[in-house]
Amino acid sequence: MTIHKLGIAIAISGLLSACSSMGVDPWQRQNLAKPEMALDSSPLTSALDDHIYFSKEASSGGRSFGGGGCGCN
Amino acid sequence: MKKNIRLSLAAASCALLGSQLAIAEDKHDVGEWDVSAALLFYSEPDRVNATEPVISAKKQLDTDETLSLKLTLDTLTGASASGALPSNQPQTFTSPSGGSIGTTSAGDTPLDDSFKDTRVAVNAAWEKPISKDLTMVLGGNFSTEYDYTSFAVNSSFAKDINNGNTTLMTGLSLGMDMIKPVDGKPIPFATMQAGRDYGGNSDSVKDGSDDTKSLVDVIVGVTQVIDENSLFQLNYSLSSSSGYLTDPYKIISVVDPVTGATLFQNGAQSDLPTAVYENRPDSRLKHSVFGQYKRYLGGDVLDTSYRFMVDDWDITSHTVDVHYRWKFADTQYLQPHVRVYQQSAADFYTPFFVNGQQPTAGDKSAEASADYRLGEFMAYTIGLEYGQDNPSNSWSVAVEYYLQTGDEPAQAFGELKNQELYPDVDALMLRIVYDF
Amino acid sequence: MKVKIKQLLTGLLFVASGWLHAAPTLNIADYQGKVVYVDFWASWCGPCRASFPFMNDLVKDYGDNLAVVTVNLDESREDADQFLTEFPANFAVIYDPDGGLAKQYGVRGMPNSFLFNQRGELVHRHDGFTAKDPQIIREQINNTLGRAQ
Repeated sequence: MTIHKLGIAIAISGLLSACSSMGVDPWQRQNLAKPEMALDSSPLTSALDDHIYFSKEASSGGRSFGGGGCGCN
Repeated sequence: MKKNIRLSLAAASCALLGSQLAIAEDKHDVGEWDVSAALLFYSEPDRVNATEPVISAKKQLDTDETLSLKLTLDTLTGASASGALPSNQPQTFTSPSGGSIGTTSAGDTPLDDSFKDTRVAVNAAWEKPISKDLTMVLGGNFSTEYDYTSFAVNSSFAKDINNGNTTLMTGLSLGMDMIKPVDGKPIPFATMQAGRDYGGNSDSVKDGSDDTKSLVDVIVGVTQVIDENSLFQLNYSLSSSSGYLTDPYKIISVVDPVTGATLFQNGAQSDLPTAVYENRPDSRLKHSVFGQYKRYLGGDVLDTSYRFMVDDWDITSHTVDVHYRWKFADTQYLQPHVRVYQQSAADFYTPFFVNGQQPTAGDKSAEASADYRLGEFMAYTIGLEYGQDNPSNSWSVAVEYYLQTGDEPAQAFGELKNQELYPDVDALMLRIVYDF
Repeated sequence: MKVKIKQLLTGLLFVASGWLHAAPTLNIADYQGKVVYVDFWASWCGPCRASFPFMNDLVKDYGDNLAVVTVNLDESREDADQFLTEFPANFAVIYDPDGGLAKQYGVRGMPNSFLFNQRGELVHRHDGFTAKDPQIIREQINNTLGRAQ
């Protein structure tokens, strides 16, 4: 478990240092600003899908808070 | 509403916000409502049919502040698997409402066909910057159906660093669900249809009580811009639920230890099969890691994600999801979608009980469920969406096919080998989304 | 003679290429005596849309006391032109597709505005554009002009 946590800590710090070398200037975000490039570009669709999979499978959530509020599972 | 002042969710700094990349341009005036509607038709042959209309409205309170409201109706009809196995003889089951009786033909999977419900769900979220580069989201969810009510509140914070190229996010959600099963909670492992009403000697197998479960979700995540065309997100979430996690309508068939045939022990009515109510652990802790990568490819968009989930019920799952948005004309696109899901079984999953091995009725320390959703299976989704992005209104239509398939249980023997114990489940979905 | 022509051609080419790739310049000293409001924007930036009518109002309200100069950061001139058709500007637009000026000013997001006093000194910078910003910016301009509210 300690090794586990250490691994996560290394992964996160590695990720953060890698992150600081990535990226673009604010005026270079024209493509990233397009609605279809939003991480959840169609929230209605993803909510409907999440609800179906929540009721059919044993996993839920991940992108945001896990689904719930339903007697279907 | 001044038409010439068009503002957007794109934060003032065009920064990243929360779990959504809010640099995304969304041309709506401050003070204006952005209304979207969706309609989903979901159909499993011979099983569940659902119609789900959704309407959502987002008010642009400022260039960097929004209020979102969403109303969802979920109308279900049809039948769902009860957990009982098919038999070489017809089986009769009473429905949870106690009244109607359904008979399942020999060789067919018993379904609970009293499955009719309408669920109403309301979601609200308020997103507001609280200082430069720091955004807060407060949200609430409420849903209700005839035997289930749920409340949840959540809060999350997103901090932009690295000149807006990196966003750190953290959130907490607290929920409380109330379960009011018809006739109350069943007694774990009590034999269904064996009470006095069925000519038996025991009292009711339902204790008549309601129950609750509580949910705590914690999420931390990072979103990173890689270059002018790509970005990724990585989230870790911890989800803890405790309380009544059992499905009050799910049962487990009891089979003869020698022949493997379903038992029919009811002396008064010989077509009533022997099946007992399930019982699940009273807590569950899930860990999920979710990664998403999006890339803009000269008008097209590649969207891929992977989720790994593991919990203390011994379920492990992997989900891979890929969308490709092909913009083939100025305002039109086609978007194929593929999703592959694989899960292992819960450690208390059992497709049936061999008579004599089922726990004593009322033994709350024992755990077992024959719910196929806790078994080991693969699921595949394949879909295609056609959409139009028009300046004043955008819409899309999607068709998706879902198939769930698992192996027959290895522990099957005798007569069980003649039956299909883990049938495939498939579904067809039609989804329409319209942005006003 | 040949050498001279060659030199001349080379010189012309050099001048021409320099002219074609001229980095846009913004010299605050050119506006000496006026308060200068410099705004960086792009066609795809949502809040920038809200700032355009406001900047037109500034031009109208402050007249010769204030110079409004904007810097467009679109990579494609077409996108900028289309935006200007939709949101006509009564102020100067400098095109900086490579972001040289934005880099020089350390633009953190868009819109990003900078207020210079009559002596050409930077007195305020403003990130973003929200509903409360017009009032704040007007107060800053008034203070810089030495005007009472």
